[in-house]
Amino acid sequence: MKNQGDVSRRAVLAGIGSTALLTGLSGRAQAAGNVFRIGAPNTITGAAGVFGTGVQNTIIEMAKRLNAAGGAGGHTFEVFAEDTQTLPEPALLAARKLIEVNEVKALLGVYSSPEALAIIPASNAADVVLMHTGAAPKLAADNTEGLGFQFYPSSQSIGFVLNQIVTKEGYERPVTLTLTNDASIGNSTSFHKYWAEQTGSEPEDIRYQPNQPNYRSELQQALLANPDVIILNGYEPDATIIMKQLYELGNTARVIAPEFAVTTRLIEALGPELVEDTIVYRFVPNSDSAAYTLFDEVYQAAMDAPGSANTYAAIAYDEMNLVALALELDPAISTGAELADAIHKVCGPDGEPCNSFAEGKELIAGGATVLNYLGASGPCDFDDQGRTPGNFGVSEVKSGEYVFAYGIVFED
Amino acid sequence: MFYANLAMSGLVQGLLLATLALSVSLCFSVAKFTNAATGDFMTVGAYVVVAIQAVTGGSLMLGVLGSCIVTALISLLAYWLLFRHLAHVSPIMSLVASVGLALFLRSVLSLFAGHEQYAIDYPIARAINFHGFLIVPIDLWVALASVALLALVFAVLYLTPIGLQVRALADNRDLARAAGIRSRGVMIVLWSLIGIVSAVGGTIIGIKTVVIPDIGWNLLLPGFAAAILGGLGNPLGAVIAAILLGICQELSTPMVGFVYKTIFSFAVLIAVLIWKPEGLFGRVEQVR
Amino acid sequence: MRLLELKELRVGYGEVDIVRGIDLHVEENEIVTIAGTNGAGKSTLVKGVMGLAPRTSGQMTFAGQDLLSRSAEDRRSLGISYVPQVANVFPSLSVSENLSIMGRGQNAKSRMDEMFSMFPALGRRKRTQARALSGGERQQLAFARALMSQPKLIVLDEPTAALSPALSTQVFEQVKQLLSMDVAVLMIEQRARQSLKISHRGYILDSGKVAMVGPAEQLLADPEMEELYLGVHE
Repeated sequence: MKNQGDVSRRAVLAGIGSTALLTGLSGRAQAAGNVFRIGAPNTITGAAGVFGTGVQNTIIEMAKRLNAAGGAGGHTFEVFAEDTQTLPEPALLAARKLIEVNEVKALLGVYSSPEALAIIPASNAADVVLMHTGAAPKLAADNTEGLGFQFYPSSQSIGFVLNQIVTKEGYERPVTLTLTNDASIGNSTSFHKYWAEQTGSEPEDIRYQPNQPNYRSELQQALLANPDVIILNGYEPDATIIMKQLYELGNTARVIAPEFAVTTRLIEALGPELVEDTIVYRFVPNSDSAAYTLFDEVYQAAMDAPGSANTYAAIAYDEMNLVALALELDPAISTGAELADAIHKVCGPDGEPCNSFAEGKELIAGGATVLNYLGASGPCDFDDQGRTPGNFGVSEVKSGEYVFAYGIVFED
Repeated sequence: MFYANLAMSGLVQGLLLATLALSVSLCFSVAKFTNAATGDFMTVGAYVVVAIQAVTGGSLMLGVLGSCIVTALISLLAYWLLFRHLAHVSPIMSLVASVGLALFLRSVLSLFAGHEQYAIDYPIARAINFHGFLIVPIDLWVALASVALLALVFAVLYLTPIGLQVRALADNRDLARAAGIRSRGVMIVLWSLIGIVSAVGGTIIGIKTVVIPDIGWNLLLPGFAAAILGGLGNPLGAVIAAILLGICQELSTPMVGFVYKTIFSFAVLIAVLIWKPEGLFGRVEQVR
Repeated sequence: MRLLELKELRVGYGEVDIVRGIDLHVEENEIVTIAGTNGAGKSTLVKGVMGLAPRTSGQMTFAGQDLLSRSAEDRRSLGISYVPQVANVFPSLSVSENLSIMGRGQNAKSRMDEMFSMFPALGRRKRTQARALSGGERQQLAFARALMSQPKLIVLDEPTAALSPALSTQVFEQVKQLLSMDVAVLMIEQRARQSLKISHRGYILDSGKVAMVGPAEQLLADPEMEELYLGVHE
């Protein structure tokens, strides 16, 4: 059996219906009115199961540490954890439960575009802040109340990155294979735009449906264009089938795919030969920053592994810091809208720079009303639609391992 | 050659559906209800292969054989604990129960194996190229396994005394009882066959895709479509219809695109049902 | 000797008894007709005798053995064959298969050959699916199938339903010939007059009870019977 899941994680899971984690005795001892409830509907299982536990444990660890340090603006944190199975319906169910039963004011660590798209109408209606790593263009459009914060770079920037990779590698005949969902189509469309601006030609785009047992016709069509590079915009299950069938059909063109499609599990399932030389791009944290060093320490404590293992945990770390800073800045916050406003005041890009909650707290004590939090995952400078720029790293798969090649910074 | 390759792709797709359609059709013809758990039996079959491969160190043959036994036992258990007790009430009750069973099986798999994907281990090889016509080695094996499975099922049905009883019971329950045919023995054969078909079908689907708790359920609708198209309760018709549906679907892609190819197959289904409500190979019983 | 004997037999579906206490018997080598209006409970009675009704109570014996506690599947080996109304063969099975499913044991093969010599039309179409047979051939197959197991009693549920008058006459001829094979017949018939003509005795059912009983000639001659159940001469 390949891809055997982490047993301890599963054992934890087996007990999960919902787990309310009272984080620290000090939190309990304080007045109930000052408890700030946070929902963590994360991908403990499913396509992104490799990331979810690290994300959730980071949120819980951060709550524990913030509470131990006296909370934020007089609030202590209580985290309610759920599993979304990396699927939209369970994600929405989990979010509804967190909102209605646990009365959380913010949902943190929401992972994929489909999950975030499923949740955002409900979180908007309930006046709850939603922090996620989706990339679908529709997520910006659906952010009607300004309660959404998109920590993952937008589809537009992914198109930019793809164009950079293809150009840098000197390929001339790219073809895109695109899963029919908003995020993947957004990525491909954005790439086509950049590519067309640069070369004046429109690459072939083959759209495919999820959950198909056989992609041979689609791949045949893609190979008919005689591509020298194939850009795959999808997720792990379909990518596994497609990478396998591409090989079977004799493809020799290189494949470019995101890390959440060509995962370590995919490489394990197909064996290194089939995945050799695949170009994998990923959102990379700001690993030179002071915040990243602090995050790494938190992640070590939470997961007993280096922070570099999980970019999404760095994002979760920043999410907790932003919420805490916002509460510190405005202790009277009682609604989601007020929280979102305060987050915009502490996230930058204007204001006094700070690398951690402790630094920000001092600045606020010193009279600062606008801060610029510089996060572990990136600058965390959110615009009106809740989007922030980010950095990308490009790796190549060599003998089944990711080998870092170069970084790309998005410039619009 | 372009279309020949598309047809090949469709053939594989069709064979994949054929196992599911066969299972649906077998159940409908004898037990007289639509088994919504058919897809999930296949999922179980695929997981058993994965589990056996993990224990034995990767033997696919052993995996399939073991899965046939285990899945047949689970199938029999479903009959014994559930469907046996609903045989004398409306078939709707059995259908509802099968939906419940489907959800139950998926939940159990999710609980113990999680939602992560697993893979059935097999030697992945490049296609053999005959002047542009591509034959993927594993597809040959899939085709071979499907044909062997169909041969087994039809041999049991048409060459053995118990197969005769199965067909008699499918035809006319009261007359079969009066002829001294005990439905219990027939049902044991039927549910064993359903289990074996599910095991092999699940293995094929698992080989072509990845093993996740939803693989069988995702294919249930096209499988139903094939079973209906073939004339419900006509196992041979279901198999032929599944293959036709697969080939038509892939051949249609240059016209309708890849995104709408599944919709196309359902459009064909609707058209056929309007034109020939009994299905392509169904018969309106003309005994009266 | 009495083969089939019913005492105070009640047969019903759900809450309702359709057959409400019937006494009836069939002797060896006897043809008995059950007639009556539509809805009198004739078919339900047959279902009860064959063990196919949901609820049957009272007394029912066959050759002295209790029948009530035996399942439908047991009747073939006890010596009772059943030819249901209309759906009386297995349509997707071939002619041979229809016969072989009834005949078990060593002499099944020779018995089948006997059937083919008795019904030559069937012998010529051994591998044909029963659904492809003509109405007459199908009726022959139904009889042959019932005879395969060498029964002591054949229960016929309206053997002439949906048949032309000419074919019906043929069917009645065949029923009469069954006597020579040492078989008793319990026959439900709408064409009561024709049926009684070849029968030894008859029962007339009305609303789930026996309204009249007696030797066939007597019933045929009874003016009340004539008026109520036989109608105008055909």
